[in-house]
Amino acid sequence: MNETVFYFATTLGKIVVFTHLALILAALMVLGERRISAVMQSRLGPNRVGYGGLLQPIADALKFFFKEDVVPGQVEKVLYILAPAITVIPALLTIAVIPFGPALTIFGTEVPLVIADLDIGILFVFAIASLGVYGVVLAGWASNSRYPLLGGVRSSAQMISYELVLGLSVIGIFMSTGSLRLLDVVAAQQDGVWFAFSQPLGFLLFVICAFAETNRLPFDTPEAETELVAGYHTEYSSMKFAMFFMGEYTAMFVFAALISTLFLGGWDIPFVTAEQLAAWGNWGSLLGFVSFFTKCLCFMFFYIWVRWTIPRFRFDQTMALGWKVGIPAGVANIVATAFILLPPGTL
Amino acid sequence: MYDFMFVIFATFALVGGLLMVFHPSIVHSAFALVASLFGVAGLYWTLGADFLGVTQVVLYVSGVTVLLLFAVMLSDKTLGAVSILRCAAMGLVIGPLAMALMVTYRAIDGMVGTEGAALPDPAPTTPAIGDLLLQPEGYLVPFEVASVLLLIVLVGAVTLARPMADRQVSRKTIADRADAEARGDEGASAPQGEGA
Amino acid sequence: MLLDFHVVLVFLITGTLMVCTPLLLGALFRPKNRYPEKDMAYECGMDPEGEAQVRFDMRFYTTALIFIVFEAEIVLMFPWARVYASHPLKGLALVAGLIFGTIVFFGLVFDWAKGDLTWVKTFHHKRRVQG
Repeated sequence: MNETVFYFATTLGKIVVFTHLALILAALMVLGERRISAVMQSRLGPNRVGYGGLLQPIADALKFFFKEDVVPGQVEKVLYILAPAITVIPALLTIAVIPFGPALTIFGTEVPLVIADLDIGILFVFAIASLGVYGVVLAGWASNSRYPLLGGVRSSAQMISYELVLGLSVIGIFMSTGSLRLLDVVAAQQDGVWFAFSQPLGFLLFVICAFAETNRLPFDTPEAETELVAGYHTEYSSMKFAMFFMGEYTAMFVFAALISTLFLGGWDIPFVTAEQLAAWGNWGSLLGFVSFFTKCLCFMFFYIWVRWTIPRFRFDQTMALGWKVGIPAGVANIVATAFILLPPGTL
Repeated sequence: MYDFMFVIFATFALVGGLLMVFHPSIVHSAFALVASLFGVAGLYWTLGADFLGVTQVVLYVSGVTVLLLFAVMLSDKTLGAVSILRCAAMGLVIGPLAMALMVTYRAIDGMVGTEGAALPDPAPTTPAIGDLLLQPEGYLVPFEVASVLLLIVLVGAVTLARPMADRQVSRKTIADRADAEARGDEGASAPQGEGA
Repeated sequence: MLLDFHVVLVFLITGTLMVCTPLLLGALFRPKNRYPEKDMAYECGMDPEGEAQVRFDMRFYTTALIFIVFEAEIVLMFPWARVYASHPLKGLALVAGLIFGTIVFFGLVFDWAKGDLTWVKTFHHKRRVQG
């Protein structure tokens, strides 16, 4: 087969499969959230559509699709329409650098299960994730209404604050691996110990950031319904509202995947070495893929668990946690890692 | 593929730039600037400068522009009325000047007139940048001086912003607002003291 | 290839299409039933009054300013972290990084001491002066 054609076919295939995987997972996450929340509150949750409510996400999507799209008169049209798209696209784009499993062998050619294998993988994630803030600011501003504006401004301030903590918390990993490439990070964890154990402070900070960056409870002040109605998406309805929803849940999946990759060994299975996994060929790849997804799902359950466990922080508390605890702790983590990495007798 | 990338990203940069200059609303302009700066980042990627491209996104596309947006939203909307003619005149002066500078530099470099050479197989640039930053004969001193610069910016920024913040708060307290409303002063519609 | 940015571009285009399709396609099926109440900004049933795009607090601006400086610091730290483990002159790399980080961190400490990291700062003080 022609090499170029093969390359493009596999690349396009990966794009389609992985994005849909993420979207389906996001949809299931919505259902999971409702069901698990219900269990935690001794209720049933949606269980009528399909087996155990499994088809509920499809029903929801159809409903969004056929609902009237109310565009209030006061909005700034162009930016108002752009905002939901700008929320979803960065979230999707981050998937490009996440390695989903060990390389597959198709027709004798190795196909890595990552869409774009960038040398600066994590920096790319950092950059693209920072674009997500525009969707929120845009929505808040273009709605030309009070609650969305306050929500949007709050959200942007929160997101930029925690972005710093996010950046600081991962530097320790790259000091130890000596690479910014996510495949190398996974390889380093297969050979050694998971970074959750060797970088506990970085792990903790990253988890906190995952909650803050996705505006999840306990950091959901931007859309705190008791004070801001629905925050920046108050004025949105129908498919546009669904886009915000999708963007949020995709971002949650992306963060779960990042945590699995960076701190929980990626597709690494405990007590199984990379060579053993490779020896099983494509089945090994599949196994790695399953392992990776199990970790993602566990973390997504963790999101919901935290949601019904910890009450919402006040906005000033959120900001104080980011600036006065997160950043100094992140810097301390880097300094500690720098000293640990020194070979004995250097000083 | 590179041609394709170039065309797309250059379109982003140009259309964004034009929109930014000509759009009457200043908030729209700021968002057009986002597109334009992102296009430039893409051009860096096309040229194989991966680290530079990402830095462009992190610092300019997200950082500086968020700041700009906040500044715009903080200011009076009427500030948006800047004469396009004056901007165009300034552009007519600055554009050719920059062009002339670049050509002069290239002439000294001896690269004017050379056909665009084929791109070498691009390699990741981050390790090389890291090594240069840590070489005493390389960029070690500028690297450290950069931190001093950042420190100055940190101190300067808040020192300059504080008087404005104080003025804003003192002018727009809830008490003021109540007074203004009692006087029936329609013009003094105060903003929310968010988080206060 | 370690510079797969063209793939990213393809992905960007695919993603945009995936987002735009449901938005545009749905417009064919959706009911349209507008009346003046739907045209209003949502304020919990009250009639909106005055300008909605209010000028918000200066603190957000200060936060964004400090944010940019730290983002620049982090971006500069990345290449340093990338070569740190493999650098032949460990001591030099450590000291360079420490000096760099400490100097910027001083800035944070300064802002902290000045109260710019505290979200509810000037308000009470100023209010007393005013009242």
